[in-house]
Amino acid sequence: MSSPAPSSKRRRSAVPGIVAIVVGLVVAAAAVALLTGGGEDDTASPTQTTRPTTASGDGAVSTSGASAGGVAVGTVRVVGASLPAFPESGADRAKGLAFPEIRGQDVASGLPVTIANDGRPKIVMVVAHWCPHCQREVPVVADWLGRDPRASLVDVYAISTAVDRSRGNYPPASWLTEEGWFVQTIADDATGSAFRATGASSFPSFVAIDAQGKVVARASGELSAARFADLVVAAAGR
Amino acid sequence: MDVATTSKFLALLAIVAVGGSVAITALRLLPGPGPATVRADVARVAPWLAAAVAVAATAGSLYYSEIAGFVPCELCWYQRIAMYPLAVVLPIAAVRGDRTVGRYAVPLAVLGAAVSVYHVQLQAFPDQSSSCDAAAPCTVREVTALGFVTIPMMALAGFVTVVALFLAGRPTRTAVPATTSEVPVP
Repeated sequence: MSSPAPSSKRRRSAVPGIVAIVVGLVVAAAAVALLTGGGEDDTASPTQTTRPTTASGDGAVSTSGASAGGVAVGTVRVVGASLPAFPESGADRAKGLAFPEIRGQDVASGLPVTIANDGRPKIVMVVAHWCPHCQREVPVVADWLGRDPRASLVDVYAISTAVDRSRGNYPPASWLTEEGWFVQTIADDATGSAFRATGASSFPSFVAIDAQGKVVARASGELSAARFADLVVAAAGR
Repeated sequence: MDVATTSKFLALLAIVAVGGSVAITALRLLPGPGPATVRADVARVAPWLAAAVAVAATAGSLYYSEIAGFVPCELCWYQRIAMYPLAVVLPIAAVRGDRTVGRYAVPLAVLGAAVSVYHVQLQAFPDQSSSCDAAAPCTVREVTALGFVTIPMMALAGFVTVVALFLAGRPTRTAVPATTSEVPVP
């Protein structure tokens, strides 16, 4: 950036002014941010976030009992091997494997919930409160369970996981209650133990389990009522 | 400075950058020697400003992933692929006075901007997929500063500003003397 030769007829360069304006705006932005703080900005706080697939270990955040907002993050115990990861394509290696026993607390009541091999076929559905696809799927399933007689063929459970206060539609218990969700729903722990036990990698996801406690099918993504019914029929062996 | 305050700062910088880009573009459209000379001066500092924008955007990106703890989603990574090289190449080009770097930087910035636009609209209309990725969903807004500024919007502002700064140095249809900075003041 060499300067032109001095001359009374040459105009003054605007470069210093441009630099001053840029620096001034940056300083002003910093000052405004510092003086006003984050305020009501909807910025996630990772300390409030459960990250199921990146966390590890058995540590769990325990929330005893149910408050007005229910149990957002609970205590979970998984007995048995977790299912292999749900494949993006090809055969599902989880078929025929035993579904692990999962013990936890209900998101709404805080009462103990156990998903165990009790001789009844089951559907286990995994949801995240902030996921728009889960938000659409829950009423579809709730409606189907309330009107289709085949619903009695299986026991349906849900797992509420990846809880993040900043992502909206929080707490999960309020959301599920508003949707008329009467399914027993385990509040997953901070490390997503229950979620990882299902081998899922996205929300919503489903596991169909037969009366012997073996996995017969898994599904991921929003399902129509008809496809959900297919899973129920598959679990029931009809 | 907490994450929300930092986000507000970065969002304000993004708004300033967009405003600057609009002003630079307007300078190209305005006739007369006045805007042309100012544009010539902008072009002189453009490599340095573009380098600063790229470095700031990269620093912000690394802040969100390494300090704030947000896991970058797939689209975030594509935008990083476009921005991170700029944070290295543009400062070197500015120091060396390499005016040809725009030929390499602008395509990268345009590609990055295209990904940012797609990411912004995906967050606005998340119905385009059927499920949410558990690890790092592209549809979720980790940050909404000032009520509307998201991380991909900040990235878009950075890419657009880099492009605008390099376009400032290109000649317009109305011929401008190469030495416009030496145009005598009437």
